[in-house]
Amino acid sequence: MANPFEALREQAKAVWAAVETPQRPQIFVGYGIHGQAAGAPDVLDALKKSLAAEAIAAEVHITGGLGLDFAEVIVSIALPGKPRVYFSDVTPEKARRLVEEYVAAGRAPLDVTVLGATGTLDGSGYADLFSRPEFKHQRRIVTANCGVTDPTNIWHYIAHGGYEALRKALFEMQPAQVIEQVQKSNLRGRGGAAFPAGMKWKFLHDATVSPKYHLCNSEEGDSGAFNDKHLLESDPHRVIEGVILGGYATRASGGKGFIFIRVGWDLPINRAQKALDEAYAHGLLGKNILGTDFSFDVELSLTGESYVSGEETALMESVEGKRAMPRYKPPFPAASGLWGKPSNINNVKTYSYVPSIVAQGGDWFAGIGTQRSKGTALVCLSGSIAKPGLYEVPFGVTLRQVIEETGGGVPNGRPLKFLQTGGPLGGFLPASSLDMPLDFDGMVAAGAMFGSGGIIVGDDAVSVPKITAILAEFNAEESCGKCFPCRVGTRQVADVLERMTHGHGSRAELDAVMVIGDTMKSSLCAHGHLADNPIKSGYRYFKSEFDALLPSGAPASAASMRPR
Amino acid sequence: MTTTSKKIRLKIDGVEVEAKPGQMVIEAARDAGIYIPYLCWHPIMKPYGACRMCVVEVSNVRGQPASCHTPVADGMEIKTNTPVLEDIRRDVLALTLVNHPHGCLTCWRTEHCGPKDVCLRNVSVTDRCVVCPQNERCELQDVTYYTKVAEVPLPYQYRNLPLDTRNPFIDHDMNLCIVCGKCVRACNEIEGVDAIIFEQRGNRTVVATSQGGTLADSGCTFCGVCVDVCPVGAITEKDSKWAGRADDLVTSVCSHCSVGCSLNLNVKKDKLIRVTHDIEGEGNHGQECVQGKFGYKWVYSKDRVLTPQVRRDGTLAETTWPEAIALIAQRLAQYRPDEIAIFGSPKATNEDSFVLQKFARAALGTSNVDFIDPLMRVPALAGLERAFGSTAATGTLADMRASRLILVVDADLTFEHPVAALQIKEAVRRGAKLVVLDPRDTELGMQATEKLACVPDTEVAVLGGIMRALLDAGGEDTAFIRDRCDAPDELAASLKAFDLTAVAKMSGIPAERMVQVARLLATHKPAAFVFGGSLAGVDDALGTAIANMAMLTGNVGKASAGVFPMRGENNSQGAEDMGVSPDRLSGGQPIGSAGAWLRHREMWGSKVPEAAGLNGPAMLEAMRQRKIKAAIFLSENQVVPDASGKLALALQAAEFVVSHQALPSVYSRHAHVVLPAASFAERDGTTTSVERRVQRVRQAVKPQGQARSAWQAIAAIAREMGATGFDYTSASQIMDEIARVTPSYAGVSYERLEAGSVQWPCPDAAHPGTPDLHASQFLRGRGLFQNMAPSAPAARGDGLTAFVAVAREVKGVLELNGSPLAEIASGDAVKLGIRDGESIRVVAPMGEIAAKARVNGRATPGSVLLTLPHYAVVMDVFNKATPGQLALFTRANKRYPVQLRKA
Repeated sequence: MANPFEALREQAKAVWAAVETPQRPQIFVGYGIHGQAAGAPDVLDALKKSLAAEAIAAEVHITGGLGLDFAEVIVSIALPGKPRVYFSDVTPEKARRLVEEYVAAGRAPLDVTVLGATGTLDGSGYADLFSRPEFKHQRRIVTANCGVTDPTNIWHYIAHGGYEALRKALFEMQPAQVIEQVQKSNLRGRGGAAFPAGMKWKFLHDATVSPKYHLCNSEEGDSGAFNDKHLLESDPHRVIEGVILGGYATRASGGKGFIFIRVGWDLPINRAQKALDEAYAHGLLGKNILGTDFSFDVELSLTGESYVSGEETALMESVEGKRAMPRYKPPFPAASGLWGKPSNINNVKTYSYVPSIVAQGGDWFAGIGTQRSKGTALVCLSGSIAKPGLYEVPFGVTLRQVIEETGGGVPNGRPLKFLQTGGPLGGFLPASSLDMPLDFDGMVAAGAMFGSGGIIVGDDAVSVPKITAILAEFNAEESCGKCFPCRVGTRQVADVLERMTHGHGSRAELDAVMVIGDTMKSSLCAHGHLADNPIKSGYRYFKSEFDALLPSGAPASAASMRPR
Repeated sequence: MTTTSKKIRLKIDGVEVEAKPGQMVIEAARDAGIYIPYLCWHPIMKPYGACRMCVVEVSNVRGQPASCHTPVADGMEIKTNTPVLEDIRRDVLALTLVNHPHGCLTCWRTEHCGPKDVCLRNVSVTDRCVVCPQNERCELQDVTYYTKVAEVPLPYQYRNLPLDTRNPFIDHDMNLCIVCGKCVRACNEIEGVDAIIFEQRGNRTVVATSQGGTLADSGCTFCGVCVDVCPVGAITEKDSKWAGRADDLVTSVCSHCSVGCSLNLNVKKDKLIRVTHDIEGEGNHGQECVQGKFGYKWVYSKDRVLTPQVRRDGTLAETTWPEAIALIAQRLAQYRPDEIAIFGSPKATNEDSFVLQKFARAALGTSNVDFIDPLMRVPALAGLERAFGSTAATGTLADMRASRLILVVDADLTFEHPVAALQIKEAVRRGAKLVVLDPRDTELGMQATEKLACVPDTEVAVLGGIMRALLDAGGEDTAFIRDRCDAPDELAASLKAFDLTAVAKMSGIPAERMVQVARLLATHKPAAFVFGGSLAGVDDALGTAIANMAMLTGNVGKASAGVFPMRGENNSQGAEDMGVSPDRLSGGQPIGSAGAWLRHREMWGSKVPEAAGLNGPAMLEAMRQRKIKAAIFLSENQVVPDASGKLALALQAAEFVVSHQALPSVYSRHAHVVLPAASFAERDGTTTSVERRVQRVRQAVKPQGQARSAWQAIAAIAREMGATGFDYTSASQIMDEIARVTPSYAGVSYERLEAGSVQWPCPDAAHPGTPDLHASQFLRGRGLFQNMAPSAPAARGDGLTAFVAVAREVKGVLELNGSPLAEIASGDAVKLGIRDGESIRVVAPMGEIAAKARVNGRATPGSVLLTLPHYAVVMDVFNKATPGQLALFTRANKRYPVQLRKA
């Protein structure tokens, strides 16, 4: 029987061939959120105007982010017969000159930085883009298409192997076999808790109630984390394919997937919606996917601004239209989730790995990373770092390799003081921890956590107590207000730290804050469990800074709530 | 041995405990008498898991899970009191107290201060124990003492939130709120109202109204459940917040509508200080409404009748009980039995009603015993009785939650029987279809799948049309009809007269919507049929129609199905069961049936008459014609319907009138002897709710003044007249006699009622009671289909039809609604030139009343919804009102032709 996917694949190949070995100049503008922040809309505008002025028949595409956010706006140009050359820091003025000098005349302007090139480089004089130091430690699995293909064009995705995993699963594998591969891969959830995804899927697979739901969590409220949004805006089809595979693997035919995004994040919302529309249009979603008896829907679900709605059960409440407050567990989502039906919830990143795992096998994935943390990590570097951006590195790479070799270290010759990892509920790591390998469990043991992958780098000009106070304020502000320890505790911690940073602290209050940190461990959800991480780890590594804020001569009282 | 549900065995603190599957650990512990502290958990609500007070340690489980959301499992070993748990509780609670004033816990004088001491101001003013209405009845205090919090780690922060006191019932002081969420959840889970919600987040989270304005703006029904579940002083009753802690809770039955909610009367120093919900209430399961919660204040009304009074020279003068009794006995003895009328009350207890009718039959020898107005029974009942053999509701109200379709006809339940309406709303939330057939726009109508706002008095035609469509589509339950019912072919033939096009034209309900309802009826079972009593012009055709429909669809005698005629008063059902009827003995035994009559004659003596007496209106007419010369009326606090004005005429004509009443009324204006009646809180007895549930009414406080129960007064009169068999010393004795002579109550006794209520028929002490009547066969044997005929509504000229609704004696409802209110449709308003908010006069044949016009979408064209305040205003107009004006103050919803005039 002719597989309907063959036709899609053929068409995709044709579309991509016209881009890769072009007859006409192909111009790509990095149009992710970082590119746009750096001025991509103006650059795009300038490019189009110049092309019109020069009467050049070129095709202009947009791409997502390459991850080298420090270099945005990145414009890459492939002239017929030449490699695709990536130019960085493009301004509208530089864009005009790129058209006039490079596209029209083949001469790259000398003052436009070239990052590198891809394609046939022989004799071109350009170095391979991926030989740059930022890519030395990278292993691009889920970000392979990011910055390379057009996220609004499904053919680009299919031409790069997209939906092949879905085809393979639907036509060659039983649901249980898909789960077997995911379990073999030892893929752990990338949302923060690092729970084995395969095991979760198995629970849902075994549930007998229908419909079943998949929730793809892109709430991503952590400060310093932008990898979920990056994936959705740069390669949305990969996320969608992952969700569909989840539906197939867990026997959720007739069920539904929800991609859950915070309202106001227009770029990922629009890109994901466009991609969903395309997938429906080509029979990859909806009734009888690719002509099989497997039916599955995916829709976007938007929520108000609430950090806690990224918590899995609060997210479900939110999708149901209720106030985003976590539920108690058990029952776990696989037994009673969205609308009381069996549900699975994973992060955008987790779902994104699945197409590669299905296509290449669980063993392949399990061969990457450390003993217990498999695959790659999507690290978002920000703060005092020379090359802020998003880097996909295998687990086991050391923080030094990430921060210094990939991210270029702290700029302006200042010393690195700390890393704040895992978002506002994560912790601080001192400079001495740079040789620690990236690892879920290792980092938790050090009092920080890998979390969703954000690393904020601090140099010696940054006050740890002040950053701690800011994080505590965030945690207080974003507590949902349901359970007592978190609701009151986060606020009290934030207030005390606020007072301290203004010189009104006391030893007794600082002690009380430490006890409150323990008290919050009895909270209903992880927001309260983890809310003491920044304080505890900050105090552990930078005690003297906190102590220095206490008024001199403050009595070293040991007052606490437990007068024992 | 077979057990229906498997038992789970676990150990709590080393004690072997048995639990039911699905129970949470905290419930199992509670059942076993082991205390685990909690603040946010509530026995009748879903677990929430916010306060973390109920944490426990579970064998083989990491951490300290909260026992309110940890399900029991076999072999579990639970520890409730380890040092780790104590630390968690103490620390979380200490933290909570940072946001809650805690002078009451930490002030060093709390142990020394007496109740009358002036605060010595050791504590800041917002923090003092005396400024909290919940002091000494605060769950937070209790838990804090239990956990032994010694010190609060950080300074108390006053939240400085404004108080909300903008309604007559409930005060909000969210500065005292601990955000346990019980009120918000109760409003949602127990009452289904969602008037209050959480606003803001984090530590600013606060309970607020869902629409942002006042509670009334947000649809609050002021049921008061939020008050009852609030563990602290954040939500309190406006009128009793400072009344303090009750010495005693007395479980009794609500004295308002016929739903029969079990409520707890809070008593302090022999005074009823407040009413709270009874979470173990078998009919209402913790639900309540504004009437039961707040409608008790009249017990302490300054207008209470406190002593017996005798009319001398035209005015009532105080006298003593013996004198009053002697006078009554002497006067009654002067009349022949057929010259005396005995009027019962649907508010009186079963015991009162039984003794009253026994007095009429055995002591006086008359069958002239009835309510003053047969409309006090739901008028459509005769049709029901002919069909089923009983007028009683066939099912259980709470079971309607599981019904798949509910048809409500002419009943504004939200207003009249609020707790019954809750069951229907819950069913809707669970996916049931709701069909509302009512000329008015009721609150339930807003939630209806099909809202059929027909022209007044075309309800029966519409029901006939629906049944015609049902038969045409072959949607009837043929097996049920074949096995259980008589005369289906005759009904089918008579339904041929219901031409859908003609019915549609007459009623304004399009034919396709009748067909749609027929389709729903055919496909959604079990279905329940609820109807109310605003049917003056329709005689009993509605009961006939509903009975036909229930039998056609096979919806009788099954759980969550059945027919519910919504009687008006707390004991409308019971008083009738007791034989307050000219032609029925207790339990509905026909007086003419030789067996019952002979048995009663053997027991009660030769005076018991064989012939039926006159019914209420006939007795009033006979009084007017001076054929009946003496009468006894029971009324308690009931405001008396006198739609025709005939009551006043009858009272004026009578030679001797005795009234047993608690508040002044039209009776006391004419009575020759007034006897002080004990209020619902001051007497023992039983009442029978609309779902045939017999429940104990318990005396909570001593009667005001010399008030007594009706049975005490009547039995005293009987004894004075030399009758035997009236030597009762307790209400319990009377129930024993009721059980002996009433087959359907044979298994009822006070001893048994202590263990729980029972739904009749209950033929013997071992019988579990009957939730669903007519289960295997109808009381009359086979169900009887009765022919129907479409009748056009009576022509009403150019006037409007007024639907009169009267708020019950709940002070405050009036303030909320404004009064009196006349709601009309905009088309009529334009025609009459009446503007919204304008003062108008509502003119009825028997009088007129001033009202405020409200032009809105609630009234259908041609009708005016007249909402009248109750007791307070009745009292206000009492001395200057014409009988006709008083007549407007009727309890049951009734219809009158009226004209609206500009004031």
